[in-house]
Amino acid sequence: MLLFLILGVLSGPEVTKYVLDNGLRVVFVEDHSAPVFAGVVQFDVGSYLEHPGITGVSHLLEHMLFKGSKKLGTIDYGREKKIIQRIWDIYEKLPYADSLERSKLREELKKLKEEEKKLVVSEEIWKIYYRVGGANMNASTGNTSTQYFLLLPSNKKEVWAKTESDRFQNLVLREFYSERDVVNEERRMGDGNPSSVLWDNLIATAYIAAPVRWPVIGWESDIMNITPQEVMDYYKKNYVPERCVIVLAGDVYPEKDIKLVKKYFGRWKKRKPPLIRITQEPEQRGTRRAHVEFRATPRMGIAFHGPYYGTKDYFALELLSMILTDGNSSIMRQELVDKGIATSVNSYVMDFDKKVVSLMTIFVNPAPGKNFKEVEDSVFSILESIKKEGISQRSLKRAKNNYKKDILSWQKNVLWMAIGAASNERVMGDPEYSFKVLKTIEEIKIEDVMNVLKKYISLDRATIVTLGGEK
Amino acid sequence: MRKILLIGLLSLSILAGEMKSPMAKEVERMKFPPLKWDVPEVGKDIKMLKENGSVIFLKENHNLPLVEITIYVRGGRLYTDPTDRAVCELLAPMLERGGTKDLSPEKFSDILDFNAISFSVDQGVDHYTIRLSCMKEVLDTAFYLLKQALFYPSFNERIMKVEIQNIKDTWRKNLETPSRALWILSDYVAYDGHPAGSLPDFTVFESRVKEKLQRIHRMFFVPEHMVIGVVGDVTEEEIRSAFKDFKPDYKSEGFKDDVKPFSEEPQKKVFFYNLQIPQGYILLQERVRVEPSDLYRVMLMNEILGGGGFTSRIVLKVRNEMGLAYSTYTYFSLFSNPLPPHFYAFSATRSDAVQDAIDAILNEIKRIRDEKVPVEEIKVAKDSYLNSTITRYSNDWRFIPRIVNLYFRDMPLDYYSKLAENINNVGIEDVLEAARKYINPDKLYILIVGDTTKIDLDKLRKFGEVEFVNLEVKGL
Repeated sequence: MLLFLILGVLSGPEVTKYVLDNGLRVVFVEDHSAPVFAGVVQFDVGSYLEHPGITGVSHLLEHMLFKGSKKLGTIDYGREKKIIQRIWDIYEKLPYADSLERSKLREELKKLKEEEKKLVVSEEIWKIYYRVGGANMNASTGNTSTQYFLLLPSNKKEVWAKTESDRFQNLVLREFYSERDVVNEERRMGDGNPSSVLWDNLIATAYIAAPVRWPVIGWESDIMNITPQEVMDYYKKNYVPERCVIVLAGDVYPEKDIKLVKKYFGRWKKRKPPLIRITQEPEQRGTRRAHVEFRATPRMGIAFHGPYYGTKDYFALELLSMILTDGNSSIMRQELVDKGIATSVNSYVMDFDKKVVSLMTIFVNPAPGKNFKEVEDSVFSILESIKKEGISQRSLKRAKNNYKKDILSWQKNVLWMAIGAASNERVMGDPEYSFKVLKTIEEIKIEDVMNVLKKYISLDRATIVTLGGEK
Repeated sequence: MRKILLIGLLSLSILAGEMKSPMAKEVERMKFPPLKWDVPEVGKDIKMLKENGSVIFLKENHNLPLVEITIYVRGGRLYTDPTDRAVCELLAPMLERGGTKDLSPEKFSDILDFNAISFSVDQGVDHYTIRLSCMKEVLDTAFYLLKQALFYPSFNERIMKVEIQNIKDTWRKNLETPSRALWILSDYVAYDGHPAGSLPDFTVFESRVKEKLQRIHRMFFVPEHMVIGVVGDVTEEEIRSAFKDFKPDYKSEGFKDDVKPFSEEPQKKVFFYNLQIPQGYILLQERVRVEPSDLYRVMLMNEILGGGGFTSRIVLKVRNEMGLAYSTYTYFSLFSNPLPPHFYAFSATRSDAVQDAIDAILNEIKRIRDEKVPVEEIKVAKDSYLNSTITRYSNDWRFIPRIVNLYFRDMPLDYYSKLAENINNVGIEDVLEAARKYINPDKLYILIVGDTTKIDLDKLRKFGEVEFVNLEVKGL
């Protein structure tokens, strides 16, 4: 076991990092203000590893990881295993069966599910955690990562270590088909939401090749056709210790608690992570446009490919985004909202963990009476005038002040700290990276911001998607 | 009485008859070192101060150089004529950014943004919520801006035009976003004809808006109507000094906190708002009058029925077993005084399964009213409450706003410190009694937001007459 002891940098908390023999990285972030801790298990697994046909598999797998293991969620896995296999077989046969056979298979399925019910303890992982005081328990899947997290009283670390280490090593795909339906309902919730539909279309248009162009939740036809075997294969291939970071933040004692982590997670078999080739986005040649017919008030999304995360240019772009739209004193709020061209404007930079080029997005809602063309012209006119006139020292300082405060505020909550440290470690190999970024932020000058503005933000590099209203 | 929680020693005994996996059994056999932790108490861990008629709850926390202030101001559409609703809504953004006596809107926003001070004003039915967050080093500036914004707004006409447009835009979006439309429909039907359920009438913006804003503002924004929570890197002395002059040079005029009587509950019907979406958003709803002595029984009963996350009955049935919904839950709005509390059961499911989801929810309601809850089920619900006090209430930044809400709602200030003890005293009979007393299927009415061309209305009629609701917002 390798030990790195990293002293807190800047104003961050005490952070200690270990790497177990199986390649699993373990990070402790100390904050003894309350006897609680946040446990985060984060994988370098997300929709970027998918391809058409299995879009949404990362997210579906995240759901399935709450269904238990060979020892969890069942009273007798030996008996249950045969039932599960038969259920899978029937679902595979159903689409090809004639009507008579189909009705027989459905009858058998009904009986099997009744039998399964006698063995399954549904949602038992939640029950275990609830009973020992778990809070904020959840998971999330993104383009580039999947994470499982919760808060627990600090005397319950062993419950966490035992349960989490088991589910990530011994997954059983029980109640697969009903959970697949649940995921599809989750997807439908997005389909009824105009902002969500706009985002799906913007990212699908902005990226023509990189594997972040499909929705994290997946397309309906993929979700509803994906098989348990495909999910299991994906799990076995990708959920390996070397692609995982675990973080315990809060009332933790690294020297003592690492023994507990090692006891449970040290058994996780080392497996060579698969070779991953990520299709990179080719250079964009000209403006891309799309319009989505939707009965909704008009909305517009504008996107630009940006630099890779972790570079100085990337952070300069983040500052530019803050200068443009953060707060009522920002340039675009004043020029677009206060002048009655738009009812709102927001921007942010999606980093994609430096796996593909970042994406700066600007979302604008046209004001009544303003058409998309007028709004688009106004946005680009503002950008062009900034290119000519520059930005003020005060607006740059304002953005830096807010960046610093965001990093401070992040430390109010041990769960946020844990998630942040896990991302930092997973992406940059340094759990304290966010604090070190402050130094880079301080060093960024007006010229740096102007450079990224000129280099990345222009009409011929833009993707413009409109929704609702008129075309 | 101070309650000390020995969390580690709380029993996780093996209960006969419950299905448990080998893992659950192993966890039950674990022994945990005791943890001594107390829910922070007002008067001891949290200071309660009074300045100029307002009440201030202060929790010093010097771990980070940050300060956060939460203020509840009694006011809003509940206390005005329904025609004032739109003005009540406009007041919030105008305080946030409409300029002040001494500062133009641009100057105000510039100082705020430059110093990384977050400041927001949100309006609710019966109160405004002000949130301010800043770094310790700019606290004086933050207090200055806060006082200017809350007591000396100038309601700049140009910004007013912009914000009127924004409010209208928000309403258009609300009415096309299913979850928001559902909750608007909920209030509209529940408080029919009452200011609490009124829809805004934007034609009031056609004349003398500034005058209307000034009247509403002066009615509500005085220290006597404020409950304030402060957490962060400050001392009592600093807070006393800052709030000493935290008062305006006017007095409240025309404020009456006697709430207009609420109309009778709606009939048992299906209220339908048409929206072209791929799902039906469902809310089963009824007004309840929970006696204070029944509070904890109701809470525990709801935890078991649908409020307790993934282990509660409706979630297990509708989501887990039937695969019909991603989100489904039940909720009692117990902290709603002076609004009457309601029971809500929510689900969103595909259009052709709306009836099935409603049936499943009603069946679970029937079950909890007909049958005693098994010992093991109530144990899980109780353990969840008892053991999670530490994870729910140990973060000062989140806890102080809860205390502000308690005080504002006339709830006992020791509510959280006695919660575990009170929940622990609830028995199986209590849960049954609470379900029978407070959920009455004969009174439950149903609200649906969905597509009339995809949801079978004939099937819905078995739950009551289907009435289409037009959420008409005048002047939109």
